[in-house]
Order: sequence, then C-alpha cells, then structure tokens
Amino acid sequence: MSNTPTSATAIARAIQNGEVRATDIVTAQLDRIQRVDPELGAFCSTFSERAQQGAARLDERQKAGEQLGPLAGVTIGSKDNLLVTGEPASAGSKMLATFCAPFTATSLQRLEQHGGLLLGRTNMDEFGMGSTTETSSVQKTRNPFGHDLVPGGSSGGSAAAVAADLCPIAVGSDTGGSVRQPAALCGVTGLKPTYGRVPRYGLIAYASSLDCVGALARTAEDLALWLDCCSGQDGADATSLPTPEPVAKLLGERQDLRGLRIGVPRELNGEGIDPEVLAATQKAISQMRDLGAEFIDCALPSAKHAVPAYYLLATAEAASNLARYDGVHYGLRSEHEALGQQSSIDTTTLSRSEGFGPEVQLRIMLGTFASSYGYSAQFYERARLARRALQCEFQGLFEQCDVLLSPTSPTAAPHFGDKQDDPLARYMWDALTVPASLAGIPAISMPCDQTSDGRPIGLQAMAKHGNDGLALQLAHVFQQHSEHHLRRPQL
Amino acid sequence: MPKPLAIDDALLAHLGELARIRLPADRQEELRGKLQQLVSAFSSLGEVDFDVDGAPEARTVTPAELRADEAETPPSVADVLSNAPQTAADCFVVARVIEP
Amino acid sequence: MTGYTTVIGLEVHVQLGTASKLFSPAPVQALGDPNTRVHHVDIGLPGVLPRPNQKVIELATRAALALGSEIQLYSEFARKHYFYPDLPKGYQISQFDLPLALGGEVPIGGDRTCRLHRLHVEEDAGKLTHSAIGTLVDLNRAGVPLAEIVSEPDIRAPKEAHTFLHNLREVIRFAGVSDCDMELGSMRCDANISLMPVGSDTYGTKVELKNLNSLKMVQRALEYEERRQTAVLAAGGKVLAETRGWQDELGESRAMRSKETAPDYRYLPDPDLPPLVLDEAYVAEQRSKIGELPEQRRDRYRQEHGLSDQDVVALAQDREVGDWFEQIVASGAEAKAACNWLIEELLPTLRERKVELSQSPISPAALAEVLTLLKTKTLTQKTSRLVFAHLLDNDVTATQAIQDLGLGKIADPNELQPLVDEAIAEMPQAAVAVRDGNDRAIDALKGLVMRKTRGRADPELLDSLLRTTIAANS
Repeated sequence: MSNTPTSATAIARAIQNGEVRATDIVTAQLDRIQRVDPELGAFCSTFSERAQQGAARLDERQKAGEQLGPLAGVTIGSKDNLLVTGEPASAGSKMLATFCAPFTATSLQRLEQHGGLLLGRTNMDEFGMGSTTETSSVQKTRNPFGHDLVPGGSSGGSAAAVAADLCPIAVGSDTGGSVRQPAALCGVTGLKPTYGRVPRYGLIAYASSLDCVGALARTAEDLALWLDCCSGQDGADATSLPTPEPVAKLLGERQDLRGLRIGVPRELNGEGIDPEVLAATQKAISQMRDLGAEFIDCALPSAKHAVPAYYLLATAEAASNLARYDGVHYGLRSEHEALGQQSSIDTTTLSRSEGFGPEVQLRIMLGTFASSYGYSAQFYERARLARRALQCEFQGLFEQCDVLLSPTSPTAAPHFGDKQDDPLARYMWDALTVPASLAGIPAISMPCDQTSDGRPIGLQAMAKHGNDGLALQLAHVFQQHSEHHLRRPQL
Repeated sequence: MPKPLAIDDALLAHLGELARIRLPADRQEELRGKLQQLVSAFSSLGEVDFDVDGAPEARTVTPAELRADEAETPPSVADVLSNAPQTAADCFVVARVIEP
Repeated sequence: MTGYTTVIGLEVHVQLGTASKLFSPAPVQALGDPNTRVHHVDIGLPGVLPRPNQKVIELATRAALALGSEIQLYSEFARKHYFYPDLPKGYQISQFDLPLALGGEVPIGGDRTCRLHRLHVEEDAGKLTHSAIGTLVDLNRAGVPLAEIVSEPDIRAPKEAHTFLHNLREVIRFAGVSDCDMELGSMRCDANISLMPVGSDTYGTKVELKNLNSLKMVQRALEYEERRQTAVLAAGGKVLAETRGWQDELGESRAMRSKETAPDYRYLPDPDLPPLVLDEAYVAEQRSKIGELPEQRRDRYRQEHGLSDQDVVALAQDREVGDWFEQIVASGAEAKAACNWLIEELLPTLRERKVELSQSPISPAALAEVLTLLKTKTLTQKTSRLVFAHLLDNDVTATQAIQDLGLGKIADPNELQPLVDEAIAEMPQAAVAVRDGNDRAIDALKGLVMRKTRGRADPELLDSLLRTTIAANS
C-alpha cells in the first residue's frame, strides 16, 4: 500500500483520475483488516459484499467518464450503532445480537451517495455507555499504541480502525465525548459536530438531546470532507438543523492563526488533569501563539456541575430510549425455563435482565431514579438548570473568544480494568468533553503530543454553535505545522 | 422537602420494577453500592443556586415546518416482522398477557 | 336520593381524521390486515425518530376551538413511560404539563354545562388479540393520532354523561375533525365516578370504568356503578379505588386492577421533538375553517326561518343536512316545507336505500321545484309524493315528471265539468242534500271526482263547479 494515498481527500482524487481502482482499494483494506484486526478487534464484522459491489459500480462509472462524488472510493468504518440495510447492528449489546437492519441511517446513506464505501461495523461500548469500549458484548478492542491499553470509548473500534489505517474515515457517535476521547487516546483526529447538524435517523439512540453522529480520521481536512457530505436537514429527524454552508473550502483560507482569539477556561485546564497532559497542552498553546493566536484566560464556573448534569440527563434519556427493548417486537427474548405460562411482564423483565450488561443496567437504574416521581425535581430538573447555566456561560465566552481550548481527556489511555469498580472515577474521565455535549457546540480533538511511554495525547478545540468550520480550520492549521497526527502505531 | 438519599431495598425494588430489571442478589448489592455512590455525589446539584431565567434551551417549531399529511406505502409485513422473536398469523407473538 | 351526590368525569379519545399517522407516514385506515399499515417508526425500531404530522395539529386546534377551549400557543410533547406489548417504544408520545389546549365546555342538558379541563394530542397504541398460542400484537393502530379530551367532574348523573358525549360528538363532527364513531373506535370513552356525601366538599373514592363501547353503554354502566357504590356505602363498606371493566352482556362491572398506587409514568419532555409554537394568525385560520357550529346554526335557523326547536335540532345535527336545507331554501322553497320534506321524506328514503345524502338522486333544486309546484297548487300533497318518488329513479325535472306521470292538475273547467256531471249523476242524493243546506254532503261528491281524476282535480275549481252545477240543476 506504499504508493496508495491514505487520506480520504487524496483517495477520492486518485479514483476520479483513474490512478487507482476502487475495487483494489477495497480488496487491500479488507486484506489489511484480516491481517491486522484479529489482534486489535476494531471491526465486529465487515460489509465485504456491499463494499465490493459499491467499488465495482464506482469503477464502471469512472471508466464511463462520469463525475464521481467527493468521497469516491473512500472506505469508511461505521460504528455498530449505525444501521446499514441487511447488516447486523448490535450497539455492542447482547440485546441486539441478532438484529438485522431494515434501513440505512441517513448519515451513512449520504456518504454512499457521495461515493463512500461502507466497509464494516466497528466495536463500541454497549449502547454508547462507556469510555473504554470494555462494555461491548461483542469483543475486546485494543489501543493500537499499546496491547494492554484501552482505545477509549464508546467509539473505540472506529478510533482503533483509523489509527491502524484500516480505513481513512470511521463514523462514530459522540454523546459525552465518545468520538473525541477515543480519538485522543488513539492519536487520531475526531469531530463532534454541532448538535443537529448531522441527522440522527438510523443512529441507535442513547441520549437523544446529546447524541451526535461524528467521525474520526487522520486529518481535519478529511473530517471537513466527511462533514460536508452528511450535514443538512433531514425530514426524518425533527431535531436536524437547516442545511448549513459547506466548510471544506474554509480550510484553505487560513495559513496561520493571526486574529484568532483562543480562550483557555481555567476549570478545563487544571484540576484533575495528568501533568504530562497539561504540559502537552501548554506546548500546543505555545505553538499556536507562535502562529499568531491571541490567548485569553477565562472561566467556565458551571463546568464543575457538568459531569453530574450530564450523567443525570443522559441516563434519564437513556432509560427512556432503552425502554423499547422489551423482547416483544425485536431483540433478545429470554428463553429462561421459568417462562412458559407466565405473562409478558416477566418476559420483559427476564429479557432485559439478560440482554443488558451491568453498566447499561446501572445507568438505566440511575436514569430511572433521576426521572422518577419524588426525585425528578431534585435530580433531573436541577440537571436541566445546570445545563442551561452552562449554555449561557459558553455563549458569554464566545463573545470574547472565537475558540476554546482544553485537553480532550484528563489522562492518556488507561489500562484495561482501570477503576472498573469506581463508576464515579470513570465518569470523571469525561469532565473535559461533556461541557461541549451539554451545550450542543462543535468540538474537535487533534493529536498534540505523547506521554513519555508513548501514549497519544489529544487537544480539544470548541467553537460556538454552528461554527464547525472554524474548529476544523484551527485543527487544519495546527496540523499543517505539526506531525503528531501522522504518527502511526507499530503493528 | 428533599427526600432521603439512601438507596434502600424498597427503593431498589421500586426502580427495578419501573425499569423491568431484576438481578440476582449479589449483582443487586453491587449495583446498589454503585448507585448509592453516584446519587450521593450528584445530589450536590440540589444545593446550587443556578442563576438562569429558565428560558427554553431547545429551538421550537411551527406547524408549517412539520410533515405534510401524505400517506406513504409502508414496509411489507415480512419487513415489519423481520426481527420478531416469534410470529403467527402476521402478528408479533408474546406469552399470554394475564391482565387485560 | 341516597344522601350522596354522584360525581362523574369523562375522558374521551377522538381519532383525528388524517391520511397518515401522527409520527409516521403510514396510512390510517379503519380496517386492514394485521401489520400492513406499519412504518419502521411505529415499531419503535432502534434508530427511528418521530416525524410530527401538521394536519394533526390543525385538526386538534379546530377541535379545541369548537369546544371553546383556549389554545396554548406554546406546547410540548412528552413521553409517558410504561411497559406493554402494544406499546413498542415502552413509552407513549403524548403531552403532559404543556398541552395544546386548556378549558372549554360542553352543554349537558337543561342550562347546565360541563367544563373541560384540557385537550391534548397523543399517539394510539397497537392492538392485542388473545389466542391459544399467546397474545398476538398488531401494530396497525400504533401511532394513529388521537385528541384526548378530559372533562372536569361536573357531571352529576349518568344521563348527563350521555348528553355530554352526544353534544361533544356533534361538535367534533361538525368541525370536520373526526367521525367520532364509537362502534368503529374513532371515539372512545372512559368514565370516572364517585359518590360524594351530600353537604361534603371532599370527593369520594373514584372508580374508573373502561370497555364502554357506545353512548348508551356509558349511561348503563354509570347507572350500574352508581347503584353498586351506593349499596357498598349503605352496607357500611368502603368503595375501592380501582379500574372496573364493563361487561355489557352481563350488565355489570368487574374489577380489573387496583389503583391503590398511581403508576409513575416518569413523564419527560420528548427530546426528539422540539416544542410547538403557534401564533394568533394560525389559530384564526383554524377557527375560520370550522365555520358555523351547531349551536350557532340552530340560533340562526330559529331567527331567520322562524323554525321550531324540534326542527332546528333536526336540521343542525349534521353539517351536510343543514347545508342541504339552505340550498333548498335558496332555490325558492319555503323553510318549513323544505325542513319537513328533507327530514321526513328524503332522509328516511335515502336511509332505506342505503344512499348517502351527498349521493342523493334528487338535488336540492329539484326538491325545491317540487315544493314550489306544491305551493302554487299545481301539485297536491298526494301528487307531489308521486312526483318525488318518480324523481328518485328518473333524472328529469319535476315539470317533466308531472307530464310523464300524467299528473297535471285539472284546472280547466271544460275538462272538469263532464266529470262533475258524472259524479252528480252517480250520487243524486248527495246533490239533493247539498241543495237542501247540508253543506258537508259535498265532500262525498268531491271525493268521487278526486278518485276519478286520481287526485288531479283542482280543489277550488272543483268546489266552485260542483256548487254551480248543483245550484243550476235545482
């Protein structure tokens, strides 16, 4: 694969020019997956027939001199919670182990319409609930940069796939950091767009007001390409925003960071963060200063409520969204011998007790508690207020700053089993990513350094609502002047 | 007046009933411990004075922006039942529901 | 009566008459083979999202306006959580603390009205059928749009509940929102009834009644429940807070489930659905689409046409009937005659033939023509009925029908005189009686000529010819 372009942008160009055939690319990718992935566990299954047929059609059209789409021949991994017609989609859960999707998610349909080739489904934490991909009931996914290290979560499979060059772009979902954090831990770039920019129809829901379809790639340039191909209003999603202007062209408009005001909120850049991560952030800030950016020290006081607010709102919505898994119309139905003459109530209880893993059960119980009579005022309603306060504070900050910066994760990749009995400690790992989720604003994680033992460190840039282009632009400029994003694991 | 925040047996059973999740005793205890830790930590939100006007955070929609009332051909019965654990006479089947 | 006041509240679900469902584009139709009207959204598959239907909001707004409710310009959809096999998502999308409309009222007889608490929009659940192998689930009905109308507990007698439902149905149908047919299930009703000790202001224990499939059944069930609860209290017992299903064939209610603790539905504003905002212009537009309501129409008919209460009620019961009446009058007929013929002749005839008014073979103008001919005495009561019957099966004008049936009035003295002479010849005694001063005897002669002419003789001319001829022959 040494002469084959590896960036999506370059691949599409090469395909259009006839330098490379799509069928060859797909074959090469599937081969690589077969060789490399048994060790990594990034893909749960491949869509080989679909990808090969799509590639064959592209090659025919290229020969016929047709104009192919901007993603022509780009192989794309998609998270196991995105539906692809005729393929399994299990959201990492036993509950959906045998589920076969009858339609394709809007966001993926759009990628295919632009020439993208869906390669397979990538592993994830069950129903998106986790930051390590350890709660997947399908398989284990390892961080390509360390055999005993987690790839992050919940889009761990997508992150590992891109890091290991199994595909140039992988689609994921980000509810509290599930695209950004694995991107940081695996040394790739990950984007959570503005909430509502990319339609959610066909994304298995975790927390409806927080779920965003996002993507991982090596470069901001590829992510901009991806974003333009799937953004825009969808009649099937009442929360989708009016179709925005494309952003890919913006990337070329900046050579440096002059005139850019970058805020560094105190609460997201100090307490609870690993010293090596802080040092890496400081180095990046220094580089950006050299590129002409102006730095503003600022405060985001409500950030200290972000984790409680997030976990109460997300779990309340999750408990609601997962109520549909009752073993009646689809999904796992318990075959427990206690069933027989029993009513459907017991079928539901047994199916849910068997089908959901412990973390999902914990979050459903927490969410049920937070929204139940007698407690919802104290928990769910307070969380809504905290969210509103955070949104207002962000709005205030974006009046003085164009972009806000912080590390993506307080630490680099932990080991498997780390803090597994301490849910609160694990939830605190999300402290830096959940604020942007609660506010619905776009946020991107870009590789900025590594720890002394070689684990990647990610830097997060957040922009105001709808300003996805600026976040991508900043990352692009940074990547034009650094090489962290090009670093590959030894496999 | 805020209710007490101890996750006792009664509350746990009630939540399990609401969520239709029932676990063996040892798993139950593990879950209780974790739930208690989280609830205690998150109850701090109850003491904060959030100075916000409570204005709606989400955008709103007008009737004109909603879907026009046109019926479309639905998926076939086979498609609809394609993931059903059990079917009969073109219907989903569940164990007999005792209460009407 | 018993020292107790009966307190009744009603909860009515009305199916809104749209082509597609509330949150999916699957078609809404009364009947269909199982699971043939189901979209992926209706199954609650992983990854689906609701798509609200704008016509549902229009019809619900019109219903609320027709009932005198206040439209809430800002309202939200909320999820109501419970587990049941006919509820695929494990929650129903409904409205909770921010419904579409509040208030309103429905007359319940005499001068009394029953206030409405609220009207909101929600989706229907699927249908369960119990069989030997288990419970069969059909999702055709899942997602069908409903308006839920909740009354205040102002009703004080089962008969008033019947009146409430009758009047509610009339208004909803008039507004063109739903056909409100309890037998077809487009209108459903649950009732709450309790007995409050006279003089107290604390309500008694409420019992919820379900499985009420017609207006009369609602009344019957409430009457039974009234008696049952009275008996329980009279025996010193306590009425249990429960849900009871009405068993009509047995004429009794049976306990279904205890309502000791109200279920916790954990209402959440639906995060998949942005809140709905209406403006005054939209509300005004919906108001104009309702047009005149039954009450207003009745008043207008009373005033403009001087019709009796009984008449206006019959004409205003159905928008189409009233519209028809107005067209007959507009074509020149008198109001009273138009009313009588429409209600007593045309409608029953069409009903017998199983023909809808909109498919009537006789048009309002044609009927007006018959009535005008009747008024000018070209036709008599008897002959006008013959013409009417002829017009039902023949597409001709009334004038043509008269020709075809040979029913023209004999108003020509030359034509009538010979028959008058014949009659006098056949009944000489009657003629003598008349000459002698017994005026009533002329009726027999008139009857005879009428029979000879098959009712076509002009009565005034006949009278004058008979008298003249009898006098001349004396």
